[in-house]
Amino acid sequence: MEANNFEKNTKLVFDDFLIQPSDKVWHAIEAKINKKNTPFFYWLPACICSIIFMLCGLAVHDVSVKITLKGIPLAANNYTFTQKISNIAKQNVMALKNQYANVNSSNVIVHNAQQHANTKVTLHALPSKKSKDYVQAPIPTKSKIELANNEVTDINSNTIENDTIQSIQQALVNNINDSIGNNTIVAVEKTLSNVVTPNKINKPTKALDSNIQVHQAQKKWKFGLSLQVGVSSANKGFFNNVVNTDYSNVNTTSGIGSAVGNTGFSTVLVPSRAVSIGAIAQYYFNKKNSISIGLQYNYTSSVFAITLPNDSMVNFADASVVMANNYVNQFHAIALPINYCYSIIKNKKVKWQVQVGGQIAQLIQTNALQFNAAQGIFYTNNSLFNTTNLNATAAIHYNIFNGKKGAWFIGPTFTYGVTPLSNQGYYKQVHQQVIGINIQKFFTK
Amino acid sequence: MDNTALVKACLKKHVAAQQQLYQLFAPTMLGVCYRYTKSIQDAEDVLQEGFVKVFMYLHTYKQTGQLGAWIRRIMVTTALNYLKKHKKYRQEMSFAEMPLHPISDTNPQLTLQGKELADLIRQLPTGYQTIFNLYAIEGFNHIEIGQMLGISEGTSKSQYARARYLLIEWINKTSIIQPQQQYGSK
Repeated sequence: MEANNFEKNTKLVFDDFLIQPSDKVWHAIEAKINKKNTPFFYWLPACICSIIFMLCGLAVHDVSVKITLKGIPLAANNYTFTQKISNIAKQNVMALKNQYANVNSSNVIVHNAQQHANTKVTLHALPSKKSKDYVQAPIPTKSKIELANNEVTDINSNTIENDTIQSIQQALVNNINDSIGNNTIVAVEKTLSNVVTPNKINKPTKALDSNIQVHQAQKKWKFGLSLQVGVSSANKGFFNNVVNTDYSNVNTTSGIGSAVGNTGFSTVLVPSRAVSIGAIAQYYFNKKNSISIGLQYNYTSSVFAITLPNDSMVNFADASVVMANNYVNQFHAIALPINYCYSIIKNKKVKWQVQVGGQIAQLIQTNALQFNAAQGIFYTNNSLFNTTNLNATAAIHYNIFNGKKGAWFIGPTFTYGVTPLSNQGYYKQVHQQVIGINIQKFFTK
Repeated sequence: MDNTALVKACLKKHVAAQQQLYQLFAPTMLGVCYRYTKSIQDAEDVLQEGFVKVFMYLHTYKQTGQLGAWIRRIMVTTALNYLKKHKKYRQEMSFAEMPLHPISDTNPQLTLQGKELADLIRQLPTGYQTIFNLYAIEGFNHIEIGQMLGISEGTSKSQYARARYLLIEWINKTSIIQPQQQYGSK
């Protein structure tokens, strides 16, 4: 070797340096470079979710604090107006509150003065005479009010002196101001047509009653229905297509189909439709924390896409497999979902609900094909599948409506099959994943 | 099928042609990837990423140049990106300034085969290993290496000198341990 030729000789050594790669490398490359375009419906849920999130974001941004004062007696007792103010400065809000504070309070008592979620601040007007005789209306659960001097007065008592009423009224105004906080967008609605007469106080209006019921229902059970639509896929890990390629010389006639000669075809599982429908029951421990359980039917599917080379001779007993080159593996299951739900409350109303949990799913029927790569045959053998599966779920729901007739939630959801579809065969270590939109409807009763 | 026809068939998405192209160059390219990484699994990962790029950008290949050299350049770039991307390599890719080590005139009798020499190169710290591969085997100069790795020309030179020194020491030791074995230099 000549001097200073170390680099040159090193280069020469590596000229013939070859290492044979393993077969899996080509399979992975082939799967990536010949990957079919993702079906449009695969992205559809994501697009819908994005639009919903954008709209929700706009809605949250423009949300207003709404205070309804019923039956405040003004100079003209039959005076009715509705005033909505948007984008006004805080000082203007305060001025507006002061306007209400200046209402003659000698004949006003307070119901439910504390701010409850979904419970309106309600003032009941009383006749000017003997106000203490009319303080017998049903009082909401939380019936104590903090006065300006930090004393706590129980307004559940049957008698409240007139001089206390003024303090209560002032405390109510303070509560209203507190509830406004730093919000600058305020809508104030005042309706005098619902002035409560003494008779009505003893027999509260339906509106007040339903408010209380809604509030109480949040602390107990809620029942509803759930519908989920989306796409499911069967993957190894997270969204890695299952790819299997066979280039062996085979000559077999077993199974539902057979391949003769150099098969040279590859198979890949691509996502397909998924639907779930069921009933749910949600138990609220408090305003924010709840647990939901349910019973639902799950339909998931994945398309068995088969790529056939031009020069291969492949025969299948099941003609539909060849004709379509795509075969839909369908899975039907009954599931018991259990979720922990955390409610994100804004302006004392549930706006968002984050759900995490799982479900135990029992496979009741499937037509899924197995694929024997060594022999190049497709066949069915349902005994290979795990019949009981554990799925992990995560979802975020937006409360699009909450009224007397119930509440509607909608949002994206993701389900991941913790247990694989099978521990052997083609679906060995293959996990199902479902992404979609979930709609939940809860009833008030 | 010559390379030109092979490329045209690959551009038409013929799977058989794609596989033929892969089988033609994969063993050589895995040898390249092997020298830049620390394990055969990582080398195969680089090979896979590299060939995906090859098929993705095959339409940009100008038939004037050698196809093998074009693919090799892609593999080297992919390997460098792989080293930067993965933490276990990135941590060893420290190109600290060090005094310029004079290039030794020592030129040992290179009796090792490719696999053994590659294994010695892979024992170098990743920074040394990368610069040695780029300079001694790929034939880049220190200015080009500096641009590729984002380091100065001087740093590249000093790192290479250190790598060369270590490697020669190890080659000499290996030759002493196995004096009876006669490895062809090519």
